[in-house]
Amino acid sequence: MIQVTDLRKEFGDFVAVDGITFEVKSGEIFSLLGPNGAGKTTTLRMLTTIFKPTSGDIAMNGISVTREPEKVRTQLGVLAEATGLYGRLTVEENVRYFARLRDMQEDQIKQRISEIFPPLGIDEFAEKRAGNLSKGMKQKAALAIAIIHNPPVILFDEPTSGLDVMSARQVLEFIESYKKTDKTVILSTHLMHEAERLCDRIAIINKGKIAAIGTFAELQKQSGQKGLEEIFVKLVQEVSHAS
Amino acid sequence: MHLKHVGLVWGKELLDTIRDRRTLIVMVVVPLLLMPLLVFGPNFLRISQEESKAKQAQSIAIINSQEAPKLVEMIRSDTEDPLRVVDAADPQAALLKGDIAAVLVVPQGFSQSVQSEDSSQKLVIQRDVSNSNSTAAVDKLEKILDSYRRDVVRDRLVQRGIPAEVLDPFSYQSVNVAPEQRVSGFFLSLLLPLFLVLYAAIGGAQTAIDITAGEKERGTLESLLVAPPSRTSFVLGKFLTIFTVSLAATTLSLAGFALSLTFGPQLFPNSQLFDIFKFAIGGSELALLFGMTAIVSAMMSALTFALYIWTRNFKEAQTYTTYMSFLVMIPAFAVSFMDPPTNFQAFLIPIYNATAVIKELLMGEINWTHIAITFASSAIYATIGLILANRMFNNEKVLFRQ
Repeated sequence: MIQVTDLRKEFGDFVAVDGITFEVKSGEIFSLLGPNGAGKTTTLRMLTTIFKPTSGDIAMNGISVTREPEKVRTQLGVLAEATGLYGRLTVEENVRYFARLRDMQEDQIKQRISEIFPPLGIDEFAEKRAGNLSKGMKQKAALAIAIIHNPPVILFDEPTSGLDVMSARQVLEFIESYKKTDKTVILSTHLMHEAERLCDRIAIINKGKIAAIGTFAELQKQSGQKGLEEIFVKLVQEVSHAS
Repeated sequence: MHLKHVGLVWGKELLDTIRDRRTLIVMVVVPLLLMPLLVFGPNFLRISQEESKAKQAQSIAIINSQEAPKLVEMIRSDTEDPLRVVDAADPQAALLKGDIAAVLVVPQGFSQSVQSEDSSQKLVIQRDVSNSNSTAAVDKLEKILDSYRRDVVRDRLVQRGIPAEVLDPFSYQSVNVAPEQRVSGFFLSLLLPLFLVLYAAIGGAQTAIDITAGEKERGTLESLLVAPPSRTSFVLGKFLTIFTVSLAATTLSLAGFALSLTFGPQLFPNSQLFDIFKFAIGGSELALLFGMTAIVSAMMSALTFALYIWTRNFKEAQTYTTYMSFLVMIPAFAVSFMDPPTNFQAFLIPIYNATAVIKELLMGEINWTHIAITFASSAIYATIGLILANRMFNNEKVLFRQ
C-alpha cells in the first residue's frame, strides 16, 4: 500500500509537483495519467527515493521514503522509461547483477529466472549482450530486472514508449496479469487506452496537481464525458482555467 | 554500506570495462607499446640517422681542386669521415638541388700561399643549412681541414727544428664517477616521472567517464539508484574500478618502459641509445616508485570521479579531461626539467610532489621525509575527493543536472 501525503517538489522557482495526495491499495493498479511535463516522472522519482520531496511524505507499506529510503527500495520494482541496461553485459548478467544488489541468493535468482524468462520470451536472447538488442527486447529485459525480486510495489514509467505493437501488447499483458495479485502497481502514462485498459483507478495529473482521481466510471460521472480522452481534456481544462 | 555490495559493483564495473575495446586499448595496448615507442622512437630515429649519416659518404664538389692537391687527397682517402668528391658543372645549383652536400671553394694559388706561409688566403665551404646531409658533410670537412691545418703546422715546426710535441703540451680525459644507476636514473628522470604521473592521473579517465557521465547518458544510473544498497557502496565500488584501471595502466606503462630498456640492446645492438638509457633501478626504489604511482592513482581516481559525476554527459566529461591533462602536465613538466625541490612545502603540492619523489628514486635517492609528506598529503587529497564524490552521488541536483 502506498500513501502519498501533500507531496511537493520544487526545482528552484519551478514547482514540478504541487501538494498531491493519493493512496494506492494492495492489489490495485493505479494510473498517473497526464501530458508530458505534468509531473508524473517527478512523482515517480520521489516514490523511488531518487528525489527527496521538498515537503510532504510517501509511506510505502508503512515505511517513509524520506526517513528510510534504503528500506523503501527493498519494496520496489521499477521499470523506467530508459531501459537502464548495461550494454556490454548479457541480459542474464544484467538481471543477476541487480538481483545480487538486492541480496538475493544464487538459488533464488535461478528460480526466479526460470519463472520470469519463459513468459516474456527472454530465454531466446538471455545470452546476448544488451547493447545488441532491439528496443522491445531491452524493455522485456528491464521488466525482468524490475520484478526479479518479486517486489510488493511495482512502478511503471511509460512502459510501452517506443515499442512496436507486438512488444507493447506483451508488456501490457504482463502488467495486466498483476490484476489478480496482491501487488501494488502504479502506471505512469500519457496513453489513454493503456490507463483505461489496465487501471482500477486513475489520477489525472496536470501542472503538478491532481485534476481528478477515481475509477473510470467515477471520472465519467465527474466530467460528464464518455471516453477517457474527452474526460482527460475536460478535467485538465477545468484545472487550467481554475489556476 | 556493505563490503559485499562494494565488491559486487567493483566486479561488475571491471567486467564491463574489460569488455570495452576503447578502454582496453587505452589501458593495455597504449602503455605497453606506444609509451616506449613515443619515448624512444624519436631518439632512436635521430641517433640512427646521425650514425648512418656519419658512415655514409656525402658527395661534395671542390672548385679549383688542382690548387690544393694534398688537401683533396686527404679528403678522398679519409675513411673515418668519408666524403665523395664529384664533378659538378654548376656546383651551387647542385647544392641547392640536393645533388651534392657541400662545395669547397679553393682560392687561386692556395698551395703556394700555404707554402710561403701567407695566411691571407681563405677556403670557403658552401652549405645548405636546411639539409641535414649538408650539415653532416660540413662537419666532416671541418674535421679534415683541422687535421690538414695541424699537418701544415707540424711540417713548419719540423722545418724549424722544433719537435712537433710542442703542439700538445698536455693531455686530459674526463672520467664518469657516477654509478650506473645514477647516470641512467638521470636520463630516465627526464621523462619517466612525467609519463608515470600522467598515466596514473588520466589512465583511468575513460573508465571514470564511462561509469559516471556515461551512466547518466545511458539511463543506467537511475536503475542503480533504485537498488537498495547505500550510495556509498556504489561510490566505493566505482572508485575502486577507476583506481584499478588507472593502476593497471600505470603498471603496464612502467612494464613497457622496463621491457624496452631490457630487450632494447638485444634488438638494436649497435645503438648508442641504450648506453645511457638503462633500467638500472634498485628493488626498494622500484617498490617505492610503485607506491608513489599508486597513491597518485588513488588521488586522481577520487578527484576525477567527483568531477565526472558532476558532468552532464560524455562529451562534457571529455572536455574536462583535456583541461585536467594540462593541469597535471604543468607540475609534472616543471619537475621533469628542473632540479628536485628541497623545501618540504613543495612536497604538499599534488602531482608536483609525486613527480619529484619519483625523480629522486630514479636517481637512487630515498628521502623518507619527502616520501612521507607526499604520501600523506596525496592520501588526504584522495579522501577529500572521495568525500566530494560521495556527496555528489547523494545530491539529486548533481545527478540530474540539466
